[in-house]
Amino acid sequence: MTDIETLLRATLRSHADRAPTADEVLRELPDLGSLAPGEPREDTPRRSVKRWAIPALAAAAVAIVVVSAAVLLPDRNGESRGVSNHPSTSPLAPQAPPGTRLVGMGRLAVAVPEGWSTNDEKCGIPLSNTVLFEANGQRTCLITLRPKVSALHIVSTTSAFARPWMNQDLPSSEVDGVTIERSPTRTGGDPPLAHMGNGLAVGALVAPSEGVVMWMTSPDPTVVDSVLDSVIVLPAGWVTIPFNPNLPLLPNELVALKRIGLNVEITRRDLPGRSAGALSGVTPAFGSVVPVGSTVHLVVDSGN
Amino acid sequence: MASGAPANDGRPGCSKTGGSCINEGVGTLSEQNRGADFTRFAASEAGRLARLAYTLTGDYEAARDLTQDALVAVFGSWERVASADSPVAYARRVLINRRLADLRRPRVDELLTAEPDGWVAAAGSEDGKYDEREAVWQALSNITVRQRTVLVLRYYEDLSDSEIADLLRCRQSTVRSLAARGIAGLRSIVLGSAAVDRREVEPPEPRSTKT
Repeated sequence: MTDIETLLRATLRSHADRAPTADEVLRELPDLGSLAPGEPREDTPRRSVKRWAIPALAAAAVAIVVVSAAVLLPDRNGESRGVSNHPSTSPLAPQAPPGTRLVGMGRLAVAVPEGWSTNDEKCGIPLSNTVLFEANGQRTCLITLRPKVSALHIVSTTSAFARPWMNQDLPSSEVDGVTIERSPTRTGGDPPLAHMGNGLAVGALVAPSEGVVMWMTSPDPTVVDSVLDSVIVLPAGWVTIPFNPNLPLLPNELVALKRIGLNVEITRRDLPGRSAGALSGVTPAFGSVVPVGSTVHLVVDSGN
Repeated sequence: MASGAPANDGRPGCSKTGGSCINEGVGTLSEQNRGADFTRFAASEAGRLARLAYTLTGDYEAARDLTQDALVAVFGSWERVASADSPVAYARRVLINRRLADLRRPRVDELLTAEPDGWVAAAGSEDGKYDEREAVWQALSNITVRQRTVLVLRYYEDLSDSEIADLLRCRQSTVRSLAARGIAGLRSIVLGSAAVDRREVEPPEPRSTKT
């Protein structure tokens, strides 16, 4: 063995001691299962990981059995399961008008008709009345905008999809202390909304301080206005489920869910042709408004 | 195999980790017991996987993320992992595959706004003398990731070339080639640094006054 090889071996062994400890790794592992009642949560002082994070992992396996029988595709079971675990009895509970549900990002939410789906799109084009998060409209597809479909697009202000709205000088107002810019509803296909195309009515709201942009496309301008004008700032104790299609693959994102006060349950499911770790379903749907402490159910393909 | 590897007790598909047989009775135990098995496995092996991740990435945060990522993936396939000959080897394979797969994903630049946890200042030793190990550590970030992976598996995990080839799904000749080029790269960088360092530390030789 040459000197450099000996030196390399010694270096690797000595520097490996600088690695994160097992406790540090496990402490921030996602709470794959529900913590047992009384166990400390993210906002409480942490005890030794071996006393709660690890039992939580064990609970995850139990959750697999319990949840697998109960959680199927979110579309089939409705999107209110997570909320139903925590009845909205709080006097501060945000109220959606009858026949609507609240969806949003961060602290902002709007009311959309209850029947609207989530992310029903192809190549960024909505296929039905739907709520779209960061739709991938950059792919080229032989599909055209459906003229009779309404869609609420929700993106972060850092998204490329937000740029058309960020560059406009929009009139602003204040909702619960948050400045919200509102684009007047116009017809797409005309400048400056040429990219919207197809003569749909288009309107948007931008909340720079919240990092949120929402815009609506609909054949009916009154739908655009009714959705965008319903914007609210969620009261304390309520959050929206952040959109992230890679959730099961990114432990940090799961940790992020926990940090905003949500618990996570993961159910494995075998579907041929799906890669391990792919996300099959989320209940409640991305963007749903839930009280802090709710449980988000993720259905993940096991890849078997 | 590196020290600390779980001993196989000889029964097919049964490895001991943390003092218990990981897959004892797989197929008959309840999901709860399997969860407990994973828990023991994670508690027992997280540290070792984190050290491997750190030697592979050279970055504290990335090592923690990579280890967590691997453990979550292992948990997702726990039945298969538990029935493997060596769950630890399986987890190591997952970790390495994810490390290499990271290279194929679009990079997301992170803006550091604070000093990360566990940040350790690099550079030389306190007395300003040339620190050879630190130089080697820094040099590891200047060779390719595949070269570094091979070197770590060979000199830290003490795997044979055939085991590394199996892990990376390549030929042994490729492993030898990557290792040789990695070592050559390190030697070149370290010796170059040493030469520069000596020039900085040692006063220049007085010029001869002879004419």
